[in-house]
Amino acid sequence: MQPDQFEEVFQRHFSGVHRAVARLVGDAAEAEDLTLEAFWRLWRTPGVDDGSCGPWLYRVATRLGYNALRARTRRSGYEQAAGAEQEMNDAGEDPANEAERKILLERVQATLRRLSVRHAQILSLRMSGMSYREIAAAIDVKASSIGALLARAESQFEEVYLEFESAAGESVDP
Amino acid sequence: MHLNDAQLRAQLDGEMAPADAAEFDQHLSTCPACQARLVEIRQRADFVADHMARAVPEEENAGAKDRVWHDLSARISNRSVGRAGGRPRWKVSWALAGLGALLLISLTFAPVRVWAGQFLGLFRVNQITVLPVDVTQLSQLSGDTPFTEQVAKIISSEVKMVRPPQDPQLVDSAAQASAAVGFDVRLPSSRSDAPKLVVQSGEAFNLTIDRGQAQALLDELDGGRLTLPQAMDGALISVDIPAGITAGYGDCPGIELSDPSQVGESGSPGRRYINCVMLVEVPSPTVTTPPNLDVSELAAIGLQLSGMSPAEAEAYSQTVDWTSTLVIPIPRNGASYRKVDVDGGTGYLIERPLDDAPQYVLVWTKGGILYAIGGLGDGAQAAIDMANSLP
Repeated sequence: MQPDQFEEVFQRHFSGVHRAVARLVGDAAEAEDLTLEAFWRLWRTPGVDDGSCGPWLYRVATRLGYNALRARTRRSGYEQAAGAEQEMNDAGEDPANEAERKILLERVQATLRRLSVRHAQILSLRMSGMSYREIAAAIDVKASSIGALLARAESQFEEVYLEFESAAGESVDP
Repeated sequence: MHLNDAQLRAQLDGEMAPADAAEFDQHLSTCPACQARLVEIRQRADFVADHMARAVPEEENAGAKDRVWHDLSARISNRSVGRAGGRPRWKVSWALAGLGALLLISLTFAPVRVWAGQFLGLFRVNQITVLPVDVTQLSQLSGDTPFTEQVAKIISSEVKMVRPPQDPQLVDSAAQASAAVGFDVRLPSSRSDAPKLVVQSGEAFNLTIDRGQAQALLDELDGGRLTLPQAMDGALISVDIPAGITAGYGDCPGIELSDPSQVGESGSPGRRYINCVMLVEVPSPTVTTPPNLDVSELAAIGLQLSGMSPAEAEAYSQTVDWTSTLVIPIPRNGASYRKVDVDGGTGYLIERPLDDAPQYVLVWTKGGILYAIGGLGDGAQAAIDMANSLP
């Protein structure tokens, strides 16, 4: 890929790729690093043409995000809740909200970690606003199977999430 | 017939084909069961969307795009003159010599690895690349990336040392070296100066392949096109690298150390080793694989990673005896090679431009011993002369 073409691809895809990765890793700065890594790999990989580089980037970047997520130290639902509550004392302007968000974030990530890479990818891609056709290209499946994959991924997400929630001793959402 | 979950889910996102959508609506309006199911699926979709959206900041940090582009540009411009950000990436390309694919890589880069380990300070104990990748792809495995760490972790957790490497030993003469390594060490008469002569202990290890992890890494390199054979899973590969020698002519700082990168805290290898010529002699390593593992199949996967079509890769892999052939991948762009007559046989001279000076390496085999002479600058002809002056 030529440098000017690469820059054009970067300008076109940076925000979307970053968003999809942030959905997985839950941290904008980490998503930034991983997005950089994905583009860097694109630059060094021969044979990815202009038409296929979008899906390629999303595939590689969300996989990097998933791997990063999996590599983190795992903590149990109890520990997450306790840790986050402790942080409440140190939190800034809106400690209650911030602590709540942290609990939520850790639980969402613990849930994503338990999903398969494909399910985690499909959820992050869908959540970042991609169409079924775009998602299909990115994870290399037929567009007609996205509905089924998405339904299964959501079902699994809900099941695992609620498991964490009840393990943390909270009431289950109605 | 009722609507399935896939159809109901697609409908929620407005992703049904228009023709199907009309039919769908008609059925839905008259089917309480499907209506109930749709509600359930919508609630679940909302649940997931709500939790994922609330947990994660939507926006990138201010200036993220400019920052990332800045870093990328810096890496790209460094690379275009032969250098990559952080650790030099070309090291891997040189150090890598794969006898086909996966295990073959760990087999054959060993002689070069011994050399590279000394010359470039790259490979340490247990750091073995066990994936079928081409040079371009493999360059992804170097540098301080999360991916590299991941690979290193997977590999090291799979490796059991049988005969750990010892620290390199400085010896005084070829005779002393020969006694230590168990074969006749030959030194070139074209050089009148005495080399720094170092005995490398070699090493032996077993590694067990986790096909799932290997496949995951392969997917990442290749985007999910290639599938590793099932027979790979749990395959035990034994690698034995015999003891060999490194002879450093000129100014070769720290080659007697197990980690030469500790010498000379500043400057690229190109600057530090500009006046160094290295000669490596190592008996051919051996690799033992399970009988049901089809090495040519793995080789074909490696070839496809390097850009061949499946048919080409298949055809090529059938023409090579992977159990006895040393295949040295070189970077497709930026390196050149030619056949040369050396030491009574045929060798390959590979040349590659670097940031500070061109790099060359001359490799050949004779009597079961692998030889390599490498250096920086315009010493390629001197390397051939050296090879031809071996007794």
